[in-house]
Amino acid sequence: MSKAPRASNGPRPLLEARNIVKTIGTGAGELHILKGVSMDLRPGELTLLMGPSGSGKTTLLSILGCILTATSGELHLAGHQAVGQSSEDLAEIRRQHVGFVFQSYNLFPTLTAIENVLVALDVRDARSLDPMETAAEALKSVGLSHRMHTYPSKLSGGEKQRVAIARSLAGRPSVVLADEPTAALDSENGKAVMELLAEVAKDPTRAVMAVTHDHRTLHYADRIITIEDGRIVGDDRSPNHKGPDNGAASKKKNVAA
Amino acid sequence: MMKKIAAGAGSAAPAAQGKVIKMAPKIAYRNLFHDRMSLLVTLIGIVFSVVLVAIEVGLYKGSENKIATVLDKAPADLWIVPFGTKSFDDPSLLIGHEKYAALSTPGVLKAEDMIVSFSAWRKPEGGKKTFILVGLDWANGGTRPWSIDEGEVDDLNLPNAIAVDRSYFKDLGIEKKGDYAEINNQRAQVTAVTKGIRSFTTLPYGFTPIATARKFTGANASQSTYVLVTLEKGANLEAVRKSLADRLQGAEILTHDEFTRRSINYWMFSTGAGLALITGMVLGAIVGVVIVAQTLYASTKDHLNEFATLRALGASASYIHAVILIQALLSAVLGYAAGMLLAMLAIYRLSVRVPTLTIVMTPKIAAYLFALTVGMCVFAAITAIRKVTRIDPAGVFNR
Ligand SMILES: Nc1ncnc2c1ncn2[C@@H]1O[C@H](COP(=O)(O)OP(=O)(O)O)[C@@H](O)[C@H]1O
Ligand SMILES: [Mg+2]
Repeated sequence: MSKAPRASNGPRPLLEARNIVKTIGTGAGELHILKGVSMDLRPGELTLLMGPSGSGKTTLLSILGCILTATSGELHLAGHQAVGQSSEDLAEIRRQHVGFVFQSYNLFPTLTAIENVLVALDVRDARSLDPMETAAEALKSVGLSHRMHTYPSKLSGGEKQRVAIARSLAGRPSVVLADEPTAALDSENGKAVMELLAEVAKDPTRAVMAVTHDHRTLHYADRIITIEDGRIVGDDRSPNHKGPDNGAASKKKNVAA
Repeated sequence: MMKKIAAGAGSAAPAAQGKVIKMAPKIAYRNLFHDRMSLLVTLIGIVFSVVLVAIEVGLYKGSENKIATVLDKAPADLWIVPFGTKSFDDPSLLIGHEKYAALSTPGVLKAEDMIVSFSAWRKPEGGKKTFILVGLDWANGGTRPWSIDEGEVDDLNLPNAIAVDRSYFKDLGIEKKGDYAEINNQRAQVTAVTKGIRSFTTLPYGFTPIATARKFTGANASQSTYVLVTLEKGANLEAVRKSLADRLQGAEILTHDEFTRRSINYWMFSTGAGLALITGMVLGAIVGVVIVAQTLYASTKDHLNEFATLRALGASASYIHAVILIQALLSAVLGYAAGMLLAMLAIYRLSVRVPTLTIVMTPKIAAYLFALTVGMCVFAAITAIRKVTRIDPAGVFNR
């Protein structure tokens, strides 16, 4: 929609979606969930996806993350064309390029925090000189060094979501997708998680998109995409966003406010 | 708290060489031990199967050994047996010239007569018992009596002397070595006692020199039930078999293995005794598969959200199958260990309490049972694997 000069001159997008359509069912029961969505995600940005309940946010996120296939359209993710790929090829793309954060955390209850992170490394077959250290570092980066060997049942909601973020980052994905990551959290924990995601998005090799209902999260955004009834109706760069470098400074100001 | 985020998380990840900590076994192990009740049911199922199958197989193997008791001690390349002989314990008499015909056949090194005959044993205190009289020709280099526990082989050269097994004393109405009885209305004396020679049927074996056996059974001096043929080194077995068959009408020429198999098949399958054991075995295995399949499927359903998460994280289908298979294998190993322990205990107790019962357990059978248990659990994992194969990773999002 809005053709901000930065958007067209910025770095190559990590993810490009063109005319994504998702239709479910056939005949009279046909349901058009997405009606031609085009968008891209650029590195170093936190994009918020907003819209009323049932507008297709989760469906879009699932398609962008190669968890769900579009009925038609094109999706390029880090150089891969994703629409029409087999489920194993999609798993491969997710494995290499996508990190997910879920509303209900989806941690393994039988594994400790660090083991949950190790699973993501293992699944990706991410070879590192010391996986334990990589996982420990990921937990440290979300401020949970002291909770490494704690089981999810003993963690607060905010801590669980931070473990989930550490897990999503462990394989160094180029795109991190979060579906209502703060919905199950109180405002303080929700704030901490959003701050974390904003920080994650500062990596110039990575794009972050979070679905949210929560208007308190708006000022963390570099960009806000609004979706209604399966169509994008707004795409705005945050007025605070003045570029990848001083954008952080303006966000910090907002946090303090 | 947010220091180092941008660079921190995966800074060590891209190293090309390095180790991977395998999490699939850990997930499987934790899943398994997380649902204690379900693990218990799984293990009970496997233990039940293993014990049942172990005992049935042991009984089957024990039966085979008993059927081949004498055959095993009388190695020969070829057996000349009366035409239509169904098993070793189904004796009739050859005509009488077979041994000499065999000895004059090219390629034959040695030929040995053996008499096997149903005979009537009259107990000293009265009462009759049919037994199987076995006449051996060790005086001429044939099979020697074995497992003599009391007395000497030479004591059997006394007139009308016989060796019987101590475990049959009661059936034969005697108490000790030296006791007298009547065989086919002729006075006989037990001059040697064997130990552990049991037949598959209820009929005891009694062993005498072949001359004594001919006397007891009224066979003529050259007659026998079987002729055991040993070939010269390098002789062609099929060629010898053919020339023997050409010369001896009314007799069959069997290899040692053929005669053993024929005897085992007769008792185990023609009489149905083995069928019951095999049915028990199959039932045990089926019960095991069903229980393991049930619990594994239930456990997989309980953890479906985690499998969907794994899938969303990019786990390949084979990674997820591996988790379930490892769960199945862990169950198999635990169930087998417990089951085998219990089976050994049961076999030991049974053999103490019912000494006539022969349940054989060898390392080879134990290994087969382990393979069977693993196969059973892997087979049982199929339904669970089909379940996770169908999961939609999109299920990970709250809608
Ligand atoms: N698998 C599905 N089957 C039927 N309807 C679906 C399915 N997935 C999504 N929908 C419908 O599509 C619409 C958009 O869903 P969703 O993407 O979850 O919206 P949001 O996340 O914005 O609330 C909703 O009306 C939902 O009921
Ligand atoms: Mg949603």
